[in-house]
Amino acid sequence: MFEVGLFAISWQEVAMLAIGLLLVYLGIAKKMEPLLLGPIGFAVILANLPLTGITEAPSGLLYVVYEELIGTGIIPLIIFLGIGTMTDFSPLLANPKTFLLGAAAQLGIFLALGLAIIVGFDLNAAASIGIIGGADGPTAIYAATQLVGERPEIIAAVTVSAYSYMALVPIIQPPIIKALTTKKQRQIRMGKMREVSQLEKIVFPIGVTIIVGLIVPSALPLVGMLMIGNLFQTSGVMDRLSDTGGNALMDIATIMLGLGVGFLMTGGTFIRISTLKILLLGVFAFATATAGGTLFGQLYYKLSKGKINPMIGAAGVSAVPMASRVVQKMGQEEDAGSHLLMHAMGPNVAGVIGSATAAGILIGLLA
Amino acid sequence: MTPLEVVVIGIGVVFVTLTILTLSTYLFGKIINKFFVEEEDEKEEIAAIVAAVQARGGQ
Repeated sequence: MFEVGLFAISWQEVAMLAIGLLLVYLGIAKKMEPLLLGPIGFAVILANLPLTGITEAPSGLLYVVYEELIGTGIIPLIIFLGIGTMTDFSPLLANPKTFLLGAAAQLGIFLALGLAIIVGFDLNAAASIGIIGGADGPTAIYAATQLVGERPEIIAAVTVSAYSYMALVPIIQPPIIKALTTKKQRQIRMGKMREVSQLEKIVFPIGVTIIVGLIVPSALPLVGMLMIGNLFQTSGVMDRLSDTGGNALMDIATIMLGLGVGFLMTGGTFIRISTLKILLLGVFAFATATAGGTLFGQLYYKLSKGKINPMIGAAGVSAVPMASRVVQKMGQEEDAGSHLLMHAMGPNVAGVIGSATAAGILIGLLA
Repeated sequence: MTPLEVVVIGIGVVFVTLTILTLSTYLFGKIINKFFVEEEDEKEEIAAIVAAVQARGGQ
């Protein structure tokens, strides 16, 4: 029998339509992660129009996209491959000690995990929420699907939180960095970095894959895909693969991600108190991750007798390159001649490896 | 497994893994630059000098 959707719509669906429109608006008008918020917002609209069957098992479009591509972890991993093709690890290779700044910034993950337990989430949900502090969208989605695969309400909130806060890095980070550093420290200039040979760049992704695979096997899908993408780029002889991985394939994966996340954001699953809690815990995770990196940067400042600007530690969260840009901008606000961007890129790309490793550890322990 | 155990193991393994990556990156960087890259650079330098000399008609 034919039914009119207008009379079947619930207030939760109306609210979600408003949220979908808001996401599209933020993406297009405010240019906040438009390639993600655009498709996600539109998919939210699709998913919340009643009686369409688009989210219904077994053949609704959004259902199939989510179940086959997102729920299995395939799309976040393909996006990681694309990120690998676009990531330059040279600043990290030139200054390997910045790896540990990328580790310190993962403290936010574990502090948020603890707080999530305190406010009433179970351990697997808390671990998924903690990963928001990794400031890495694909990692957050991948970890959430592995840890709480049967609970779309958690995955949806974690995903929205992770991507939203990545876009808000320039707003969230500066006050925390300012609170934990002095003006004099922020004015520190750092010298020129050494040149990195192509052979080092080629050996790096292979070496990281083997080492991480041997120590944290459950992190290998994420780290391995990141590194194979990077090898495409650094080898110098796989330009076609690098180009496809970083452009066409990544775009396809991003569209699928948007549709899949939209599937999760239906009125029934998203409008809950737990969503609000997760969004607040996400801010806490992000803020403590920034603080962890900056405080470790302070340790480097002391050990280097004032040669290392502690702000670069804040870039240890893996929001590449936004976190590095924040450090560069703050450095130039204090000293127009300061160029911290490449120095911050070291911990920044280390943070990508760090957050993927942390996610792998949590999956290995809890999934 | 308790939440505290997860937090302690998690932080510990992240630091151990990235410490090993730090040391490995230093080590491989040193080895590569000492035994491979400099040699290549020297060869390129010599080839450039030879090419420049030949261009001037020298031997």
